[in-house]
Amino acid sequence: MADPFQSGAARGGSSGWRGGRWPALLLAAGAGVLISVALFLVVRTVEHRRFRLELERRAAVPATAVQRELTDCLHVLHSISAFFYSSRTVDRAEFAGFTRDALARLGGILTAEWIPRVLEPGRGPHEAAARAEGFPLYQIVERDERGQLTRAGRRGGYLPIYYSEPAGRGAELGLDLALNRGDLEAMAWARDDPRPFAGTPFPRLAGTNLTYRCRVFVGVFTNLVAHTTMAERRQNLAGFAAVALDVTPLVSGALRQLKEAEVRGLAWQVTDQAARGGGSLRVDQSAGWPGSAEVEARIPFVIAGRQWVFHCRPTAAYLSSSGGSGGWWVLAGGLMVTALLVSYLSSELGRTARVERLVVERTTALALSNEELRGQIRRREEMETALEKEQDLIAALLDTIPDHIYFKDLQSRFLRINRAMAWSFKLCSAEEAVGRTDADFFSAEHAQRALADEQEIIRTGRPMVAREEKETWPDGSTTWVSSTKQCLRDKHGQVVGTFGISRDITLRKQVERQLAVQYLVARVLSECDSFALAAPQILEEVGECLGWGVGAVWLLEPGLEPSVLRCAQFWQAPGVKALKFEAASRALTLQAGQGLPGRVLSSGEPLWIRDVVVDQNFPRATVALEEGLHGSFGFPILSVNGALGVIEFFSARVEQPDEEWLRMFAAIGSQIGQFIERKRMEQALAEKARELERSNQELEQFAYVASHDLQEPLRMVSSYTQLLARRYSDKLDRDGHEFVQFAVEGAARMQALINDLLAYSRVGSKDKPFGPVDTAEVLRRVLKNLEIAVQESDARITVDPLPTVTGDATQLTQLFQNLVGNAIKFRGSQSPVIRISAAGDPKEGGARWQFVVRDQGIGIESQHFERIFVIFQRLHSREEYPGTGIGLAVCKKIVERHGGQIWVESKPGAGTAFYFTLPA
Amino acid sequence: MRLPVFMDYTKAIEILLIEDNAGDARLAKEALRDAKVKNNLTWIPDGIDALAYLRREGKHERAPRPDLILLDLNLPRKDGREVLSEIKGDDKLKCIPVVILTTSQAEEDVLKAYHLNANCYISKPVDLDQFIRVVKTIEDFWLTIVKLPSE
Repeated sequence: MADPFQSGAARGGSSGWRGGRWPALLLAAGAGVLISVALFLVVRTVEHRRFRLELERRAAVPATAVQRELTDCLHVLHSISAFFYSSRTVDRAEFAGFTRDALARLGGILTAEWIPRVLEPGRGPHEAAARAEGFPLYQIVERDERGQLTRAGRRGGYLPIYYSEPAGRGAELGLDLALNRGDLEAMAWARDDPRPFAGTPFPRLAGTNLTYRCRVFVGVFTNLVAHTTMAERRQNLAGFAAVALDVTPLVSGALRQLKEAEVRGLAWQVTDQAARGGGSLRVDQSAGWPGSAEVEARIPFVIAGRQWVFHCRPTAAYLSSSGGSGGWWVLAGGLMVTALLVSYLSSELGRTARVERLVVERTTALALSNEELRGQIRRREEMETALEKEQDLIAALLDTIPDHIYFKDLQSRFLRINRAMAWSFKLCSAEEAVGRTDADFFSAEHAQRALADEQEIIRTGRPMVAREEKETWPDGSTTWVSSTKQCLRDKHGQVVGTFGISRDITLRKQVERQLAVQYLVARVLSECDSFALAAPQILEEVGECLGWGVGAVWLLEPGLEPSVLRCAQFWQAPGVKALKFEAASRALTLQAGQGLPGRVLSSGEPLWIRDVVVDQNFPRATVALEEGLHGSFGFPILSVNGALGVIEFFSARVEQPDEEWLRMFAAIGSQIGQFIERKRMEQALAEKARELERSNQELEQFAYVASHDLQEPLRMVSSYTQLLARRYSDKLDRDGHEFVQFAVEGAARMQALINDLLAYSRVGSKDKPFGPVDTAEVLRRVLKNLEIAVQESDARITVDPLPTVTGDATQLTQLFQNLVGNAIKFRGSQSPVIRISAAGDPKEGGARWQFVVRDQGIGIESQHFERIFVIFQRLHSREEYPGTGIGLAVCKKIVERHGGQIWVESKPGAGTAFYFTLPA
Repeated sequence: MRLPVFMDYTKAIEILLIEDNAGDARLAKEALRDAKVKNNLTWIPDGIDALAYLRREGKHERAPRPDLILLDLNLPRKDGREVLSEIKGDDKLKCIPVVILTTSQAEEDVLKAYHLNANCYISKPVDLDQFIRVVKTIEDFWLTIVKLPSE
């Protein structure tokens, strides 16, 4: 027990167990006592029952004997009845003789009696007959209130005791029993029923009061007359045979016949349960009847219509001989076993430390497994919560997602659909779709295709992923969806159906189609140089893209007023036969407002005609009907200057208008119009450019040829004038020499002009590609070229570090040479001071360089700043500063050809700065 | 029109002047008249005739092979550049030094001439003295300083 937690748990468990030891022992002791007592009670009950059964068995013997004796007595009655019935007459002696034996044998019968039925008219004869038989005092009597016998009152009938044997036993002859209510009842029963019935018990007149007596009656009928039915019995009743029973001698007689052992230890009592007042009347009892007893056997029997009970109780002697102490032995044994058990447990509990430890360990293990169990329960609860959450999420997804989600069984019947789909099906709730199929919601064609797809998926197990499908609804409208379908499997992997999700991509499809059309048109326009080339391609590409088989382009006839449209292009898809329609179209001219093209022309808007065949303003309707053309739309080719023409398309179907479509084609119409306009402008521009180029070339050629060819005559003039002056020097006077001088100078100036012009015209005509030019190197060459002028003028020229630029080295040399040359030329009275520098152009952020050529010469007035760059413009006389007036014009042209600018800053007398920019 | 200037074939240097301008031709002749080296200047004013002369064709059957050719660029019938091209493309003629003597100072003319293997390019000066100096310099350089291959 290295684990402190387990150790602690063990200690706690141990002390807890010791605390419960004494209660446990008490519990064991209590349980032992309880069990012992319970066993005792059980054994006692069993004993008791066995005792009672034994008693009942024993009691049955005397009870049966008494019954047999009683039955014998009653047999006597039947014998008497049969005797009367079978005899013609029975007199008193015969009656006595017949009954004598029975009376002798059966001690229980007090008397046997004959009670005739006497009606009032017969009373007298009856009494007379009795007197004649030896009873002189005989009369029918009744008992008065005091119990005295008196002559019976006169009434309808009497039932007097007539014979009574053995005589002298106290029976009152002539007593009318009809007045005894109990006897009358019994006799009434005996009249109607062949069985004997007992009358009211009556006590013995005197002496013992323990003896019970009563009369038992049996009906006696007129001899040899039937008495089977109730009516016959009443009719033929002659009277009653009766025996008066005395129970005490009857019972004792019966018991005397039994062996002594059969009745030993038993006390008995006979009671009549039918006694008046509901209680029981004791009939007889044995000597030694115990006043109370735990056990009593009761044996009931019915005799002569009365309920009798034979009671039997054990006597003390019986009890002592029958044992019955087993229960006490069981109790004693049980208590002893309990005591032993408790003492054993006590000793065991005192010596069970190891067992306790085991128990503690088990308890700990149990606690751990309990904890684990609780953990499992908690996890299960968490899982259930998560599952619920998951279900909520799925439900939310199904209810809110705009896509269609559906589950179908193997026969493609809907098992479940989501809410969005129910809405599309125009159902109030998704449940309504259960059990139905696509055929209930889509066109038959679509439903069949979907069914085939799903059966294929079920057959192959391969999903159908993101297939774009066209759905056709019963009203003919269509939507496009992207469908993904897959097998639905149960948890065993068995395919039980399909499920899928469909996303509405109608809008995207429309946009795609529009984009495709726009792309086609844009592509055709970009590839074609003119609308005449583009038009047939546009008709074909757009028509095939849309699936509209016929298209035509109508253009305005040029120069006609009012405007007239003529079919310029006609296209029909391969397989479409619209030759007559084409002929009709080409033969037709339409004014604004006429037909489809005319209406589009006048409105400047696209127009859709669902079915041209039934349109009122469609001249080609008949031909269209003939060749199966119905749906149509047209749109104008619009430029900024108005409509240029109309494009129309025709479909073989009746087509529903599509506003989006028309808007798109309106835009395409403008695009085509702009294309046409642009092409026209481009054409005009190209024409102009070609002309310009031609004239430029001519000009350059002219300038070149001119300067070239002009120089030769000039040289001739100059050379030969000089030759003349030299050869004939002696023949010329001073004027002649001066004239020659003028001619030569003029020729020289002319040549300078021509050269400068040549240079000027050459800038821009010479397409030498630009390259990197080191302007410092350029400056070195310039200064070399100008070496003589620099020396002559004693110029001081400073060149700052100069950059490399992009340009034409020759032209840049000329540029710098002109500017530096000017700076030398236009110096003041002092030697020129010139500085050339460069800096990054602040406006261009380093993409350009700005150069400055600065001098301290005569300067320029600001009003001339523009003029000096114009060709042939001079500010000074030729005598002051020689020059042609072309130099700065050349500079400007060179700078501009390099994409730069040139300008001047100057003040007269303060010097001039020429600025220009060049690309880096 | 062919104007034979010197008929001394034995000693004189043969110079062929191809020049359409009679004035220039005359000036060149004037300039060479007082040359240090005895020379024969043959002047032919058009390109086709000049090539016939060089190839000794037709009436030029007995024409001498020039030691130096002075070639103007602006020529009737056949341009000076074509003439130059043909001379330099002809194995028998390409060794003869060709001096381009022309009015043009245009850069492209200069470049073109050298591309066609002209031996040198000289613009005609307007000033007479300068012209004479140029011609004398040519004579001096090509006829006295430069060693030319013998025939």
